[in-house]
Amino acid sequence: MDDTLARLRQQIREIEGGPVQQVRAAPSGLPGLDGLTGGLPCPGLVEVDGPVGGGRTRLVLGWAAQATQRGARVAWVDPAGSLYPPTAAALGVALERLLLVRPVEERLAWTADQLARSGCFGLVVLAALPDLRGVVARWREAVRQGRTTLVVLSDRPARLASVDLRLQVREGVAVVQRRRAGPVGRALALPPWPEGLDPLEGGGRSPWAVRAPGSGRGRSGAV
Amino acid sequence: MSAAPGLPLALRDPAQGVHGLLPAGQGGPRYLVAWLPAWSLERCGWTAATPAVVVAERRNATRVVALTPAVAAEGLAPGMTVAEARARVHGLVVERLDEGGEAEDREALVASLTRFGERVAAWGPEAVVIETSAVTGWFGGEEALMARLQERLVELGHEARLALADHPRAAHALAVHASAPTLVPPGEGAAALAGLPFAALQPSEELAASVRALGLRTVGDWAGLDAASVAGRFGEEGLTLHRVARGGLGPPWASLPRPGPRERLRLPVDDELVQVDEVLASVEPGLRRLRDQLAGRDLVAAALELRLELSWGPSVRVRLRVARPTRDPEVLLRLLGDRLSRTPLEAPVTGLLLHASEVAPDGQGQQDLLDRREQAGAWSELVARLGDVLGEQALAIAALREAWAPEAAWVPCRLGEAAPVPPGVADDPVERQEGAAWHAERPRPTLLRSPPLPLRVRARGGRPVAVGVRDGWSPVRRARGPEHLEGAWWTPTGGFARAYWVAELPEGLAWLFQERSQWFLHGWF
Repeated sequence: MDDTLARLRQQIREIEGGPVQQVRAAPSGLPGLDGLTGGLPCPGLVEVDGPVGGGRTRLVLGWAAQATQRGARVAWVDPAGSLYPPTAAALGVALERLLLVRPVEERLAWTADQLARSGCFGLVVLAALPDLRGVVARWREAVRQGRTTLVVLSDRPARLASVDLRLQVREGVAVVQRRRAGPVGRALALPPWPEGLDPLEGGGRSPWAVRAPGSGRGRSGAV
Repeated sequence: MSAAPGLPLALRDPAQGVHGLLPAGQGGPRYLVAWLPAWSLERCGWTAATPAVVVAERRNATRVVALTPAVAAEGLAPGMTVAEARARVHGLVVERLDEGGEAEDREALVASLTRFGERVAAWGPEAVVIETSAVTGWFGGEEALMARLQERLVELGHEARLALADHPRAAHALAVHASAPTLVPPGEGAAALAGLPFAALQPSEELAASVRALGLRTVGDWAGLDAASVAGRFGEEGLTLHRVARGGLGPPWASLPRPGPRERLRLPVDDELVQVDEVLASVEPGLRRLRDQLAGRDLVAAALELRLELSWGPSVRVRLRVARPTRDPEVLLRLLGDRLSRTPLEAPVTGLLLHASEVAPDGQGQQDLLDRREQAGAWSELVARLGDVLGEQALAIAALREAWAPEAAWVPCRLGEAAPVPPGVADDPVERQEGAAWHAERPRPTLLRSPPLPLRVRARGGRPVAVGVRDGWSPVRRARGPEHLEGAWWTPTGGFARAYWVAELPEGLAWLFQERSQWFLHGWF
């Protein structure tokens, strides 16, 4: 029975154009997801979409933190230049291992391909959706060659062909939309913010509970 | 040679003119630079009085590249053809430049001076830099140390002019341009440098031209500019030289900038080259020579420049920066090949000049980002390729900095470079201490808009209750705040004073602020 399932899965992969190889999984830092899929597929293509402010960037920053803490490098392709590194650092990303790349719109897909193919990164994040015509097959080959995970992060579903994992993140909850094998539709709560960083709950070090330090050259504090 | 060996030190005090013996090791690191202007000739055994020149192939002719004071007084100058020089000075001794031999001799000289400092290195072809802080006490002070070094150099057959200062660039500028050996007391570098020409700081050609265009002539003129406007107008190089001009302390030894070999390697071209492969075949021996030169100085190349002279039209400059400095000819050849294949040439190549325009000490790691040595080749090639296509400014790592304005709490750093010190912060210890880690310990968004987006907001009692969207109003479900951030009030613009709110909208968690009755969207969580 297991052999039959394995053969069928292999045939499906071949039909989808995906590589027939052993796919490792890297810890995602999302216990629910790791329990469901074993972690982030590597090599693999992952799609994360959802409205801005819904938690999708925080989720992927968590993956970046896991990767950099393992000693891997992470590339973050951010044409808008909107990623805020102080928050990335507060979420555990080792900034000295995070390469920020700001290509022009026309070079987005090529940049992701080059980064993934290089073999220099444990995780490549593309924080924008390029023109996808003809690029997905190249990306699949690139992640296989570079033994990495390429995450496409956007506000609308890219619906990449033969994606290994697709998550939709909204209001702090990730829903599995697609994965290579196994059920979909499972909802997973994002991990909590580190202490004191929760935007709505705050915590012991909430800015609304502390006095501003020093002489008032710059100040922050409660009214 | 303007300074005779063994001259008593004229110690410079900006106020008094002459300064006495200084106590050793005040404050930060101290740098002693020995400038040896006749090095190329002295190593051949010629003295200042000998009518001798060193020549090399330059611009399709054999030209003078170094000369003794004796022939300089006769009107000879670097760049003259050897025929012209011979015509002007009867009995002129002509020595051909031996770059490999010079490198070996320079290495020997550095080795012979190690007792004068904790660390010693060659600085370009004619100078040696020594970090003296740790050993000054053994010599009985800085003046005695300088005197002893001068004696030692005379024993070795070299005339040299010395300068000791807080910053190696300052010491180099004074050694080359001051009329006498100079000891700059700690913290007084700005006054010592003020009268020197701006070129003494060794700016790039572009920066020098920009500064000339502003009518600034001296280091003092340059130091008088506002640091913030220097940073905005002249970038990192400008900021670095501005700090030197203002008497800033020297950088850590590992990041000490050392110019590459002065001489460009002219590579033999037998015929007109029209194919990339032909150019590369001519460049390869040059890269091997460059490797030998750099190895002799324990350096690696961080940036290369290849100038291609064409059979007609202007020459083409190909600049290459590598992520991990190297002197490996195979790696450099592959990167140059990649670059040349994308460089359009409008005429056959008739001449090639190779130059390591930026070098680094061998064995010094760069950013942690680059430390997987097994992938060094792949990394270098990737960065070179991305830099070619996207531009070097498109690649960066983030460095956090202490600032109250959220948008100023980090800066992008170019690969392979240390994080720049933000203007206005380095000199302000209060700002530095109090702003530290402030943003990292408080709720901050994952995405920040630059610039903030003006918003229509309905508020009740100062608290946002709805946000204007294209087709109406979006309700604020929950709001948390305000967090007041203000700062930079001492700047000409009057600084900022903002009241920040976290607002839960149907679209997501937003970071809003109100300033002078106007609301803005600043980021998303």
